[in-house]
Amino acid sequence: MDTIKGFFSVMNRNKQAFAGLIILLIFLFMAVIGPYIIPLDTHTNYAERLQLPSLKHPFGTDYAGRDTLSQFVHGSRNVLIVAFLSALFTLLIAFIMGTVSGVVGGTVDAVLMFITNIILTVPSFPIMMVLSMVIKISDPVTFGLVLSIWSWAGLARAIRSQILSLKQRDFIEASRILGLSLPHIIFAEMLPNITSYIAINFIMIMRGAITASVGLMVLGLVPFSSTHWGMMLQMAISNTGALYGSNAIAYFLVPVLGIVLFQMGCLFFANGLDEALNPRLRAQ
Amino acid sequence: MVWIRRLILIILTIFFAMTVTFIVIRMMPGDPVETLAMEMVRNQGVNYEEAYARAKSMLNYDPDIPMIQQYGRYVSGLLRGNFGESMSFKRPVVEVIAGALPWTLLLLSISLFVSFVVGIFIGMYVAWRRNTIVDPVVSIYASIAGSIPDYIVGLLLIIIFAVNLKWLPNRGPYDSSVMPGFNWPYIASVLEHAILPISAYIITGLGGWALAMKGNAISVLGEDYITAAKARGLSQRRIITTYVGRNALLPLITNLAISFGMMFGGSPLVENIFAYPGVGYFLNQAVGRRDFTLMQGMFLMITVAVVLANLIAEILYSILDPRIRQEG
Amino acid sequence: MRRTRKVSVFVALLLVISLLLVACGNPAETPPADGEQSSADTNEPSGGTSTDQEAQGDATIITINAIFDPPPAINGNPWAPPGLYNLGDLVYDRLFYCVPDVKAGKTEFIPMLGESFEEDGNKLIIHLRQGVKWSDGTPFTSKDVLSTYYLGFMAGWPMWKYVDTIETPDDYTVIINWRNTSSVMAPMAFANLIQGPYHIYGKWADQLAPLAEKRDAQGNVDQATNDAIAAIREDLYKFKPAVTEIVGNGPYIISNLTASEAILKKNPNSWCASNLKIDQVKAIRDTTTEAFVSNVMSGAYDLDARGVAPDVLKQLQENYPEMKIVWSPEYSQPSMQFNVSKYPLDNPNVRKAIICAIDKKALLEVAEPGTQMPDTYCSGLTPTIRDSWLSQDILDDMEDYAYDPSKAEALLKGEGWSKGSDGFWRDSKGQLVQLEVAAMNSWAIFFMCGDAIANQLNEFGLKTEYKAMEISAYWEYLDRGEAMMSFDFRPGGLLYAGQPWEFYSNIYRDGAVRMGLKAPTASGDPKISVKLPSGETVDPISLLNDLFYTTDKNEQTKLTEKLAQATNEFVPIMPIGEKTAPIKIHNTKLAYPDDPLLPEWYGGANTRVIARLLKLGELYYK
Repeated sequence: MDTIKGFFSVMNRNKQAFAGLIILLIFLFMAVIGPYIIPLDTHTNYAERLQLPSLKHPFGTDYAGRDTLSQFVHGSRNVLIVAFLSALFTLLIAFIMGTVSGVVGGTVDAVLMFITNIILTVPSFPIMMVLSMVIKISDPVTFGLVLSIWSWAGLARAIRSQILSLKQRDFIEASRILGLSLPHIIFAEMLPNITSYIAINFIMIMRGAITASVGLMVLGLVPFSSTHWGMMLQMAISNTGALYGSNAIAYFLVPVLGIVLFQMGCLFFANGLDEALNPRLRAQ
Repeated sequence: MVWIRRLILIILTIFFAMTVTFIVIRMMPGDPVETLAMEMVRNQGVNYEEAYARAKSMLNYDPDIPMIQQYGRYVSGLLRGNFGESMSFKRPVVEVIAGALPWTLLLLSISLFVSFVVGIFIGMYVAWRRNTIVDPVVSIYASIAGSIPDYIVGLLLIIIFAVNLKWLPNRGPYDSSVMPGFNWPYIASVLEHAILPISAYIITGLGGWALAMKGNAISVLGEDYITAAKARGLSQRRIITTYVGRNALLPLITNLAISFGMMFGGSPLVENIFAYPGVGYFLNQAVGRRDFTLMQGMFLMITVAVVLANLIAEILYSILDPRIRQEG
Repeated sequence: MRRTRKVSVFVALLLVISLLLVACGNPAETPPADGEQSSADTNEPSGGTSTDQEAQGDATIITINAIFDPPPAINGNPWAPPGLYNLGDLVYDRLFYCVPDVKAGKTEFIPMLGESFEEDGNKLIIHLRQGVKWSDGTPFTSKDVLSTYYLGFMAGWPMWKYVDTIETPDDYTVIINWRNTSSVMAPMAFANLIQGPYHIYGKWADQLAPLAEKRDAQGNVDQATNDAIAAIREDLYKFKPAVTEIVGNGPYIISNLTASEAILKKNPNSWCASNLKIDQVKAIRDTTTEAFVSNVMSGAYDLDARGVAPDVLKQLQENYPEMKIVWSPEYSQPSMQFNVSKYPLDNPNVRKAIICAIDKKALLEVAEPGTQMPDTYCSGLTPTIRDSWLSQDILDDMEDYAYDPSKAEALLKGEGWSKGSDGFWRDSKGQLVQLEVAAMNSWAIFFMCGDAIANQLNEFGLKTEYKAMEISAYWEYLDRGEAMMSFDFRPGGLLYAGQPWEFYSNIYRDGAVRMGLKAPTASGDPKISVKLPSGETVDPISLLNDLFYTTDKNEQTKLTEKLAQATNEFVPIMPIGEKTAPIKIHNTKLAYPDDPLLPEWYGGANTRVIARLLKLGELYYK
């Protein structure tokens, strides 16, 4: 209860985090409820392609004369699921690697950190370009996997050092002396202390996952789903005159604004949270 | 002894990273022969039969050889200093990389340098004057600019400055009318062509450094020794430069060195948009054509660069951080 | 801030180093050989159309688009990867350009390095133009043609399947003795650029000559010979002169080349030097559509031959009403192909129903501009070629697959299929029918058509999944015979000037695996038999072989008719439309032949067309 109360008091105090939360909630609402309100427009109507926003089509139409708003709303579900899954996978791997490494120590620690180091020596985007083909992307799960498989290492390292510093603290020492079980120490004693850190990272990973997924699509490597914003962007850039003064600019700007707004929401929320939960930042 | 251990660890890291990338690359679907053949059909007006025969003979690649054997060949080649030959370009991988790397370094070292230096100054300023208008302005700028992927910023820059205003060239590394070498027209042309891609990187990268610096500086400001320094009545200037600046900068130096290492991978997206023949551009080509050897060579180069950059970061850190220096 | 300064110095140092590296330049980018600073192209595009030729005084420049690899990849050996791509036609020449003359119903040969040729039984006797020189001044003789053919043997040119021997009785005569007679032979012999000057490539050609003797009756060689050829090839690939050092016989020589463009200057030794009315060609390298469009908008091109998506072209036309377009014919046809070994596409009536259920006119809206109304029959020929080979009577007897949903329904019901309560078709066993359309994401025409087709089929009640794929993964998917419905150019090859044999060979041989006619691992020809409405059973492959070896025009027509009927019954493809390519003329001062159906314009979205017009002196400034 305390954490929830604490959360709301943080939101109340920190306007930036609050604004971020609102933006994210709007996107969440759009992704979860939106598709039920606005049905996916699959009917091609070539006479009405690439139109500017109008009453009938608030966001204009796409290259096949379909309603861009409906594409955007349905796409948001894909975008969010992919980003969410990617963040979830990344976090899981990082948490397991970091905690095991930090808690167990010794040879296990050395081996795990060695693996982490190897992952860290190869930049993630180039390897994602290759991985996106090795793992045949057919659904959000495989896409999320591709995005997370090479992105967990930095976080794992950070979690490990958090765990290591926690290990030195008195209350952990005390639980150990009391003979509490290891899972208890990890989940009941240590986890609460790094929750805020993990939450902030979760959001930042989602943000990164969206940049990467859209980037892969713009390069034409992952033609995942035609309503995904990245795909809309790629189509707008390469197959319409969007950038050169035609009406298709609407079709280009809709996914761009979607991406930018969502990213901003993430950033605001995470920064605000960071500022609120980091005692040093708050002290000032 | 410590250094020998380190060295062994570095070599092992590079070796395993190479192995992992080798396996991943060879697992890619798509046959390089088929890919090249279809490209020829499309671009050279050759018919399919001929294109396939040509592609097969050009690539000299047999997908039926087991992966372990291919790996053995590759490693023994590496040990003899042979990085292999690019399958699609039929040139030593080293040569292709050597041709591409300077362009990437040019773009990224300038943009990294500018965004780092400007970023830390802004970050310091904001940390020091937290309640002025500058703070929210910088935060909002960082959030917005940091939210737009650099390739989209690149596109927007092309539309504004190359297409509409016609101030700057939109593609390529330099104008073909100039002669490469040490002459002013060439260097001017190179710099002129670099402005837009560099701007794209700086616009998106600047905010991150500023925010990170701000965060660090604020935590340093909370330290006891700053309070003590203030109490001792040291001048603001002195406190900022000697105490806050140095200590807040330390963690960023490490980041800078790591970013520097990562830089060797180029940026496939931005370089593609500007038709800039850097590492990222060729990596993209290699992926599209399934040029396995070139991809391997590039990943190996990037790995080595990153490992070395990390090493430099550590050394820098130990030089700059008085605490570590004292221990050493 | 002392530390910062240290770091700054460090980074600045790196910066200087990389600048130095850049300044050292690439070996492939050596400056112009004559040492003079290229006087071309110092004027920045000033908006609207380029005015290069005025600014240059006497020198006339034309700026075009071209596909080629950037340095350091590109090199001056056309036989080694990556090759010269579009620049090839500007620096080298052919013996003859073979172009279909659909109005006259024949193939026309435009003499270039060749002056004339005659066919006498199995012999093809080529007379070369006399007094022609390579760009370095060496005389051009039959020896150069012969060495080119031997290098072509190494490169896998299809003509070597049919060549018996090649002789050069004198400096200006080349005689090819074929194993058989065929009307496809001459176009095959002229299909490639003569890019193997003996004084440069002779040492490799001489090694290849004895190996070419070892071919068996099918044109194949044994393993030892194969290895010997591979060794020569490896050695030849090591020869990598700079592109500025190419010894060519074409109208231009490359004077400078960067990652973004190539400057080509007139080759004074070229046979067509006196025809040339343009002194310099600036070829801007094709990269992304974005870069292309921004080039157009900055007025960079005088003309270009790049295919673009419909909406991009529409936008260009709106922005530049003065831009003229010549629709260059290609006689190729983007098509959707069926994998006839996959259920339920193994049933020809299902394939027919699918074709009838698709509104092809709607597809043209999203297909690449210049795609003309398709063959509503499935004759296997593009409409223009079809009409010069098949009479109206023959066509009237063939089943027409124009858009007709009720016909499609009738065909499916005839197979015992029925529609379920959800509006989707079930087969005769009551199973929901699942179709899949695969397309590559990077070719707009196929990506958009695939999307549209999947939507149309779903609306019709055939449950269809649309699978867009990255291009390399896509080809592999097709070549494993896994795709159900996919896209390709069928008929596709343009090389032999629109002969019906070429069209059917593209379908039944080149496409055999992708259309499920044979297993991916199987060798040889697929075995197909088709029952015609007349009750006769025919084998398209043997018809194809007969057509190849026939030189008699009447016999050719008869065989073509049979193949058209068989293909129409077999329905392996659904044509999307006959393709023509937009050659866009941006500079209003350019003069060019007006009629796109003239043989000069044949060749599609390729620099080849522009090169030919330049060589013939038919493209110039008014």
